[in-house]
Formats: sequence, C-alpha cells, structure tokens
Amino acid sequence: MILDVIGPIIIGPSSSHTAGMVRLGRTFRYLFNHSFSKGESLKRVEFYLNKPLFSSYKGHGTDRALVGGVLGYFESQEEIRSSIEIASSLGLDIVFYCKSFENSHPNMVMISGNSDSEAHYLIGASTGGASIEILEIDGAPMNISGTFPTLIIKNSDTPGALSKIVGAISMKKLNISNMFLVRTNRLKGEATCIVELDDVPEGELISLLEKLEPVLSVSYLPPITTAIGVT
Amino acid sequence: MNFKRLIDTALNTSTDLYEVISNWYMLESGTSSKELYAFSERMITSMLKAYKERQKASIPSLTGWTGDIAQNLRNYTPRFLNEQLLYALEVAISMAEHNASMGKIVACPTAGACGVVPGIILSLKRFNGVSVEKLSKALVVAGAVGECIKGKASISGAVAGCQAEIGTATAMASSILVYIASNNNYRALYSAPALALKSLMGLVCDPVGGYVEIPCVKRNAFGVSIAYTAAEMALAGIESLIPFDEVAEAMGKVGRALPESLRETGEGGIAATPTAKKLLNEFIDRSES
Repeated sequence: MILDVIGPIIIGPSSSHTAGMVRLGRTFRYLFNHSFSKGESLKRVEFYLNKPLFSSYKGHGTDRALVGGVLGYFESQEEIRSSIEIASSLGLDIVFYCKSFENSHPNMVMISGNSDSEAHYLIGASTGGASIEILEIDGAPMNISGTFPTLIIKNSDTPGALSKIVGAISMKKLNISNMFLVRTNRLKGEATCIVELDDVPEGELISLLEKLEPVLSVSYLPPITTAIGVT
Repeated sequence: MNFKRLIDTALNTSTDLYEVISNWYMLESGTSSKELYAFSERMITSMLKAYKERQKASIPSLTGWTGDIAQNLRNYTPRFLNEQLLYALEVAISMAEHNASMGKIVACPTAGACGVVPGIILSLKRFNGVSVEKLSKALVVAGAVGECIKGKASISGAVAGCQAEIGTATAMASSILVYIASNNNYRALYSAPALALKSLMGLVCDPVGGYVEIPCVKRNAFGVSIAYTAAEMALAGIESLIPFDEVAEAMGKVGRALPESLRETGEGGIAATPTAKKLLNEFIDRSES
C-alpha cells in the first residue's frame, strides 16, 4: 500500500519509539470503558519497559508517548509533548520501570494500572512505522495488530459460551475476521474470547453481549488506524 | 510490485503515471482513487503546515543536540548553490529538527527521514509555482517508488540501515522532481530513483544514543541535494544502466548484510565515536539529575 510510505502524520521523533507507543497506551485505556462510563478515571498506571527501550526512552519521548496514549490522545496530537504534566494535573500516578522480557521484541512494554473499580494489564510491542502488536491482556495471550475493531470478552469457561457469543455477533450481522479463545484461569473457570471484526459494531452489540449469561465483561478496542487517511 | 511494470503500463497505454498508480491502488485496496488523492493532498498541506509551525518556534530537541541549525541556512547567502536548493536544504533540516523536538510531522517514509520530501515539495511550490494539485499527484508517484523499495528491501533503519530511510526518501523525492519537470519522460522517471538509491547504497544507521538526531537531521539535507542531482542527471538523459527494481533489491541485500551495530542500535559508526559517547553520557547525567 502506498499509504505505508507516506504518512502517518505523527508527533516525532520516532514512529516506533513515539507513535507506536501512543497507540499501545491508547489501547490500554480502552480496557477501562466500564470505569469511564461510570464517571471514574484512571488512578495509577505503571509502565514496564524492555531493557533496550528503557535505555533511550527519555530522549525519544517514549514516556510522553505512552502517557499521552493512556490519556486518550492520538499520535498526531500535540498534547503528547506535555502529557506527563497533564497526567499530574489530573492526579494520575505514573511510574516507569525497567524490565527484561526474555526472547522478545526490543520495543516491548507492559502497561498495568487501575481505576477505582477495575485493574488491567497489557503487554505489547511497537514494531516500527507506528505499527503495534498486542501480545497479552489480563492473562490472555494473543497476537493482534489493533487494526480491526476488536472485542475482548471475558467469559465463564462453560459449554456453549462461545456459541452464545458468536450468536449475538451474527445477530448484529457482523462478520468475524479472526477469533481466538483461551482459557485464562482453570480454577475460577474463566476464559477470554478475542474477536476481530470486519466492521465497527454499534454500541448495542456490547450491551447485548454483556447481558449473556456466560459473559463476565466486554472491552471494545476501536481500530488504531482507519484504513485510509490515518492522522 | 515492479516499478517497471507501472512505467510500461503508462507508456503503452499513453496514460499518466499518476493515473496508472491510482488505478493500481484502487484494485489493490478496494477504495476509490479519489480518496488516495485526498490523502496525498492532506499530506502535502500537513508538510506546508509543519514548516510554518517550525518557523514560529524553534524548540530544542529533548537531548538539546539539535533544534536551531536550520536558521544558519535561512540567514545565509549562498556562495555556490542557487536560492532554490539552499531553501530546500533549509526546509529539510527544519523538518528533521521539528521531528527531533517532538513536532508534528509527516513520516515520509519514516520520521527520521521526514525532511527530504518536504524539502523538494516546498521548493517546487515556492520557486517553480507548482500547484498543490500537481504536487499531490507527484507525491502519489513518489509513494509508488517508496512502496517498491519497501517490497523489495525495507524502509526501516533497524532492518537495512539509513540507505533504507534517507535512501528511500531521496529516491522518492527525485521522482517528484522528474514528474513535475516532465510527467511523460518515462526513461527519466525510471532512472532518477535508481541513481539516487545507488548513490546512498550502504549508508549505515548509526544514531548517537539511538536518538533520531545525530547524524539523522543533517542527512536529510544531503538527501535533498542528491535528489536534485539524480533528477537533473536523469532529465539530461543519463540512464541508470542498472534498473531501479534491481537497485532496490540490491539495497535490501546490502541491508541484510550489515552488522547489527550499524542498524539503528546506536552501537556503531558515528554513535561509537568518543565524542558521541561523551555527548550521550552528558545527556544521561542531565536527565537523571
């Protein structure tokens, strides 16, 4: 695609150390849709940067990029530059740590945080040209690019759970592009279903899914890029 | 994708190269070519805007190593170059400095090489009166050049060195110049990016501390001058005997042969010099205190 070599419009200095990091931070924010709908905000966020990334994160503005994303900004917004000051004015606690991820992409990060009512974590990597890979959310391993509208559905590990979820999606006439199901906690009998869709779902789908008996919670990740004209 | 194929299609069907690329894009993406044009136009206006922004405030970079060298060129009367080339160099450095200080830029093809194409675009607009419409079409042609290089080699310094970043930007920029000068000179359109890429073959990616500053910022200006040189040579009828598509492939092979220390790790080349290490240590001390 021609669009891979022209654009996107981003805040510099590096598409992988800055722009991709904004996208990882923003993806993490989307996990808290429940808290936001109740009027809560994020309280504390911890960033664990892989060793090669930690060695240069200040000069690349990686810290500002991650925090900007967590605050909901896009990679082209100038607020990225002052995100750390914005976070502190909002009373959001932020901490950066160095962590060695074994056999991993150099630009790998773990983001972990909480609001008043929920806590999540995400592991992902910025793989160049502002592209990202999300590799784990709340104990569920995955490999998604964030370019599809994506549902992260936590459900009880019971027979028929998947068919009810898929049934609700097909009732809304949405096509599934990719889907993974992983058992996350055998003891508690919990699983996570990751669904990448072809089209953006209406809000109704999420409330419909939440009403299903085996469904424990639903997070929706909007696509990080919208085909043409990424800004 | 083969650039020769696109050129041959344009030649054999007497269709403008921009139209051929638009149609190819439409088939590949399933979206209208109008959207492609609108996208390209938005990138052009964003480049113009980014340069204006930079004029208003020259913020130093996070390390403090760059941030104000563009004004040296702005306030200088050239002894040897013409005003147009000097202006293009100044734009390229301004954009690269803007990027290094967390300004809003168009990655083209990457953030580190974001000055080369705007240098050419803005100089064409100011000194040759080229319209935004024509420039938007030329940028699509440059996009196809970049896309071919991406497919056959890489546009990432971490994968193939600076030849893949500044090299690709320079090849793209040279095709913009040729397309604006003569959109049906297919020989020159095929030669210019090959000449440009050959001249930067083997250029390593060796940023001090791994930051997109030294030597990246200044290399953007050299990219501009090579783009002008390649375009003028091609327009003068000098052909690249090695076809562009083969040059792109060779660049990829050279990139893969580069040791890791010369691929954006900040461990070789300029980054490994005593002065570079001293600068880096000083910055680390400053940022920790």
